[in-house]
Amino acid sequence: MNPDGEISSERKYFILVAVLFLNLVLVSNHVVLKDQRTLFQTIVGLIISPFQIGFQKTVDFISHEVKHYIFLKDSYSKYHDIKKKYTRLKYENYLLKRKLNDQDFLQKIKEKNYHFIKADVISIDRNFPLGSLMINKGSRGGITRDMIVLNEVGELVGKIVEPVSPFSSKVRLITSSIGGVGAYIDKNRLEGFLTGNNSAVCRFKYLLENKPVFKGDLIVTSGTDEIFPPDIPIGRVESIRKDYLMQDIDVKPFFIEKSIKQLIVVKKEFASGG
Amino acid sequence: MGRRFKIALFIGFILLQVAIHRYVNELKLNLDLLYLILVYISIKSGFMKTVFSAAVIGLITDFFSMQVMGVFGFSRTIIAYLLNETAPHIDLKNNTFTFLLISVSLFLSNLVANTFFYFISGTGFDSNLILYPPLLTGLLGVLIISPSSIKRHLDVY
Repeated sequence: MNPDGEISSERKYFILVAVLFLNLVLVSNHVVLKDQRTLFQTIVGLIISPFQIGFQKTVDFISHEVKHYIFLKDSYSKYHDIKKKYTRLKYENYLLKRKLNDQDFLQKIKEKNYHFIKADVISIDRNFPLGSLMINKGSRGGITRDMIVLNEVGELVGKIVEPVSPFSSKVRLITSSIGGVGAYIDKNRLEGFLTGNNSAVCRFKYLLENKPVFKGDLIVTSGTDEIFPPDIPIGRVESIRKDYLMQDIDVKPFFIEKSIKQLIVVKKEFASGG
Repeated sequence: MGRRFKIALFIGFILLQVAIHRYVNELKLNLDLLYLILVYISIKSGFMKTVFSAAVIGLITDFFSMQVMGVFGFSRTIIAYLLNETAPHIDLKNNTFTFLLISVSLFLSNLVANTFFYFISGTGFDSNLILYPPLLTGLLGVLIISPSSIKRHLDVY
């Protein structure tokens, strides 16, 4: 500092370069380690996620109270609708249980049900809304890296990537430009690789030009990537463009058109165990 | 009153930013309220406060954006330094200049960040990052400081 109390310009530049350099170290650290949790991420996550969760809980509490105590006008008719739906679902459930019992599946499913973790979305990547999001369950809730994430109706949404802080985790969506999913066309088991580009449509790659695929075909996970278990519904074929050797197939994921406020995380042992 | 008003406004901005991140799909609003705080600090404060605030706000933005840590820290620090150097030469009484200052600086900052994303993960240049947030944030910044009473409390000049 000079006698007037001002910082000299050399010192200014030194501080500026030091701060920029620290940020570059953070960036390069992340790039080298490929999504490994860094100390800074953990610290920042630990500081910010309680605020996010606190805010989310406050908003949920207020909206819950408002919904329950002010907007009661049409609750009676809704109650009857739900009752009807409940009765129908109960009947469907009974029929399905009977079918499952016939195939001896029910006992196996019951044994594995506790492997699901319900989580709420607390933040969506503002810049790339179809890239990643954050949920309110972290390592304290039993979340670890590479667990798969489904929406409320069991369709594929993405997988857990680090950082996983004690109270929150990051989910990379299947529409993200990073990574991909091993997938096949459900009806004929033709396999390819599904990648995203931060938009509402994914690309199904590496299917030869002469293989049959049609608009509306269901795409499910193949399990060959050893991350996502097989036969989880992903989406439907939206458009097909024939190329010289391969086909360019656009797939619209199911989760795009549904709410992703609540998600289901599938624990790893169940995911890999099928 | 002025100081309390500023603190309340800053806290309000941070809470709103958390809300924007949670409801970005429903709101269809891509605002960067933390950047408005940074612009204010850059205009009103000295070099040290500006650089360190920019680094902290950048890291918080990194955390919210769930991308590579340090990218926004880097881009916000550079732009905050430039703002700190250039703001004294800009007529902030004129709303058009204020809008341009916020929009152009945020555009440049996000362009730097998007360039990092491009080289790190192959993410293309996205209008959700480099176009809409600068325009909307610039517009909001001007709207906020338009009333003379707020101008007086914030003392932006």
